[in-house]
Amino acid sequence: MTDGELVARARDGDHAAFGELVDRHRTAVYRAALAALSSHADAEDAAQDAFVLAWRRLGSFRGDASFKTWLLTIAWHQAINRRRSLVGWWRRTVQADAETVEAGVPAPYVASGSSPALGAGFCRTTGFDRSSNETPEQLLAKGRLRNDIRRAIRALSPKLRDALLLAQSGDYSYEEIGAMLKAPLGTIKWRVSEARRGVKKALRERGYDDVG
Amino acid sequence: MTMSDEQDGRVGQVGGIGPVDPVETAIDDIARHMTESAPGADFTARVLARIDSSDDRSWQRRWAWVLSPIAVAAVLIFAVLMLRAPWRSAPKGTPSSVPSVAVAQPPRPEVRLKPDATHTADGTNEVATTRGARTGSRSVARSGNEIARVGPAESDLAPAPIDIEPLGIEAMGSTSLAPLSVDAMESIDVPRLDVPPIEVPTIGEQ
Repeated sequence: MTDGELVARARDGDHAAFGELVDRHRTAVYRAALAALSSHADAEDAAQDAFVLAWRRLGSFRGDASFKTWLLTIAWHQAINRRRSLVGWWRRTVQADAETVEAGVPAPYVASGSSPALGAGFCRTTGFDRSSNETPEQLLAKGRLRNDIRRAIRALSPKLRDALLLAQSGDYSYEEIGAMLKAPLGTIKWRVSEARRGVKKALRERGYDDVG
Repeated sequence: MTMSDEQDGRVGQVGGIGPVDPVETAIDDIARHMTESAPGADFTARVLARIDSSDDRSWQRRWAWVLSPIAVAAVLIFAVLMLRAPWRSAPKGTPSSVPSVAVAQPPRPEVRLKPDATHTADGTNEVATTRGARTGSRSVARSGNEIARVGPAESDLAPAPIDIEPLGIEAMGSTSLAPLSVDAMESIDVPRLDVPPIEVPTIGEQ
């Protein structure tokens, strides 16, 4: 069943049809919220708010764009509102520090006992991977580099950071990113390349001389 | 290095050509990791539960919007009625059947402190200032021998009027005085007082 057919049924009050739509798009909505908020709890709340709001506004969906694009714009708006609130800012500030300590080590270095709820990007290190040919010093340097890159991405301006995270997520097309950020395609491309330059500049300032 | 998904319009590496710079590869990789997680398994159930509860509450919210202004209006009307209620109005002094308050004052002799040029022919005059004992009741401007009465209760306490014949004092005729002449005044022999000048020594000579 296509999204359009499910939307038509949901408009008539079919909760099951809307549930199907939620299942199809919940990951994309959640990741868009996560790109804006950097906090799993806030992203889940914002994603739920977006779906509830979309249910209430189903009557206003005209079909000019795809349902997913329409839904993502609602989700992005909800996430930005939450980001601008003081409470959300405080939680993200506190949680970002905690996650920075936990994260920074890529998946290959995680032992089998890592918690799946944290996701692949937030894994604790339990030691170096014996199967790798890299020395512990090299692994440590890599971990430090990834940590610094993550920190530099977080330090970017919101416009550049949002464009970079949404573009690298792999879940969105150019049109969908443009609809969320309300910017044309060329501007989005420019913001992504500017974000990369900003991160490299931050790495050089931290002492990484071989950064291009 | 992340592959570009240009076939379905997805953005993997923007621009179609992936960066050869390993640092940029690392940047893209970490950016992807930062949003790689997924919501919990019960996410859909929670969304549907919120929708169900919000549908139940929606009619309550609608009625709240309708009833709240009515309640506010009712409170305002009640407050206005309480402020303008008849039992809250200040009591009027004496009953309306009683004539307006006037003073029971016996006719007393008028003592004028100044010559009153407003003396009329019939002997009555307007009192500029009066002096006399007051009984403690209010004084009212009066003319001649007019006596005002108070209510029955106060008249019982008032002393009996004293009949005193009014003193008829004729007004003094004003005479013009001749201007004073300094020369006509008698001189007073006062010896001239000669005061020698005071010599003040200058500073430095002392």
